Amino acid sequence: MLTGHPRSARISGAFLLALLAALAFSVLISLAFGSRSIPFAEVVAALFRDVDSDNATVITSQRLPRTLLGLGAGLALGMAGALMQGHTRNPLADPGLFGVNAGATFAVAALSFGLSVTGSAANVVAALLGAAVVTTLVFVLGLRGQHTNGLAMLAIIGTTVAVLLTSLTSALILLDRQTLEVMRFWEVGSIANRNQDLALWLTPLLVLGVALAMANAFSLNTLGLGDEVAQSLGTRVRTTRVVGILAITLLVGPVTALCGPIAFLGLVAPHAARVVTGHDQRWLVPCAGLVGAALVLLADTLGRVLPETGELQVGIVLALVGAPVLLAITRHRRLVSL
Amino acid sequence: MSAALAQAERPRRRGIAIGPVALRVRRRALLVGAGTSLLLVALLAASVFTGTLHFTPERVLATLVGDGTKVEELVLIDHRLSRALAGILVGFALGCAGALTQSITRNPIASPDILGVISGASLCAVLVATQPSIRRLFGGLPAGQAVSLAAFIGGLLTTALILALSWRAGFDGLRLILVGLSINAIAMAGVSFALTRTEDYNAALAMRWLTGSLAPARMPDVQRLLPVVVVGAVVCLALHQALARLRMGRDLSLLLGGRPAAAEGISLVVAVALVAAACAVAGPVAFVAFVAAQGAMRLFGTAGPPPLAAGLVGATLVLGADLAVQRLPGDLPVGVPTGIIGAIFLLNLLLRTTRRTRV
Repeated sequence: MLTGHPRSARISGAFLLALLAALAFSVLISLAFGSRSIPFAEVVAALFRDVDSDNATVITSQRLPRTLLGLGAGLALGMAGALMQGHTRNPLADPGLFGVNAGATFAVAALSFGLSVTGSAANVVAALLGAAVVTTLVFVLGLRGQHTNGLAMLAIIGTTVAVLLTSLTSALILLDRQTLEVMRFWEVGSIANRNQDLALWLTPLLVLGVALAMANAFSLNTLGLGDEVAQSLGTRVRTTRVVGILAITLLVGPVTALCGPIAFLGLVAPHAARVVTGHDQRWLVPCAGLVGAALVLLADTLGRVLPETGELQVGIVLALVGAPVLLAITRHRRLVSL
Repeated sequence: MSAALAQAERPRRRGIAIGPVALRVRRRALLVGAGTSLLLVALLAASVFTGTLHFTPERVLATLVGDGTKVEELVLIDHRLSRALAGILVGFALGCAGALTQSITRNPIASPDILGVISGASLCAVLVATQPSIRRLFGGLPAGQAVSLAAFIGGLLTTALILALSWRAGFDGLRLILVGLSINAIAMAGVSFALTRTEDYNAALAMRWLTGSLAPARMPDVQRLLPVVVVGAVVCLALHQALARLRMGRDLSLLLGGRPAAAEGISLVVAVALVAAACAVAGPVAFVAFVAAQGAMRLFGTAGPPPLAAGLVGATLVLGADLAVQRLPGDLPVGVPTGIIGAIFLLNLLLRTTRRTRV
């Protein structure tokens, strides 16, 4: 399991500083670049002093909320991805595995199809409910009975439920033009022009999720040794699982509801963070969150700057930014099974 | 310990022995296999004998043996029979490929998608459909044929790229998965990007390919698909023991006298060929591989995803779903009911066998 170099369990302070610096840098460029570029000095001035200029208005009213949303979304998805991979001990696991994304997407499609209700507030509420209901369902079904191999069963049930809901969503989209119009824009994850009032309401959920995730990371270390060993070491296996899944739902549900399904991030961030943190979940979970936040902001800024007209959604750019990262990791590192 | 004792005390296994040649027969696999085959035959009969145009059973049988009028041959042979046969072969290929990838990666949620055939094919199909400048490279080919050809080339190139990138003194399941996921993400991002920046007409051409359907399948498609599937099935049969060893892990497989690298390599090539052939006929049909492999494993009570049984289950699933598509309103692609029927069936199996889980 832990076949890396022996120092890998302890993370160096220098690396943590570098990670924080990278995050600060991506926040700064996310604020500074866009359809109009603003000098860094002016960005800092607009943030910390009361300046009255066009640029300051752009930053405080447009880019700051967007950057904060990106920061929160990246942090949440990165942490949730690390928890998910730790719990299922499956390197393919991403936060969508328990059907969170599929449930949210299906709820939004069903709302538009059945009740002809469209609108960002209704969509956010529906997505949140859909994510919660589906995750609970997968959880209840997957944890019945005794399992000898961690959450492998939960992963299979989650994938199956996701297959079912994705198929139903495609059926709704293909049967109804209005649903297609709604889903075309909702299904591509984006942090632009999202409902800011609701974002404020959802923040407490995210904060609770982050707290639970951090608490869960401690027990997750022993859980990595296998359920029996963990139990003999005094870890409450079932409680840890329940808390972990609650944390994942609290982290992913609000983000998916607000931004739509952002694929791939929850997969890349933990793999990237693992290069330096090794398998110590106490470091891996928060570092995956920081890496995720930096990646989202970087991808979002690139999506604003690269195209000559319009913007590229963060979901599309993330694949282009994240995939080479994952490729480089798999090529140059001795792979360790989870 | 007690399990080992029970093993020792169990009576001799059922089997057929003729001289030195002995064949082990498992009653459950035999019964389930016979049942699934019967269902498959019933579905095949339903899709040939029934439809929007009515023919008497005598006329259908007469047409099948070659005594039909032009109209009867057109409807029964060229449309119904070839569509049903294509469905069976596509389903078999996808289910079999799913079991192979899940076995060599030892990961139940690894589908043949990670081999990049489908995403690479989709990207090239969409690029050719949406970019007239790229389509011109194919000379005077009609748009539909150019898209199919591009999809085939794209799928093979992407697979070659993924295999090349994940080769490091043999294939490692984990590395293969991660490389496959990365390349797939790039290809799918390219698809979304190309679709958001094109005119309606070109987008419609691309979408027609992307949804996947058995409707355009004709006899020549079946004839092209058949040899690939037969060869794939024979190789799976030959690999049966090697795959069983491989499921226990590479090291153990080596200790048991197997050659894991060779088994993995051959399985990969077979899986790629099966997916590429199925994809060339029906386009991307989603979910069959995962559902069929996991379903077959639980139906047949095997230790890992069984390739041939998964193929049988996949064939039944796709044929049944295609029948549903033809009878239901709305013109859905075959992947949609496949996903719905397959997922409900698998959930049912999962919840009933929840106490005995492996892989």
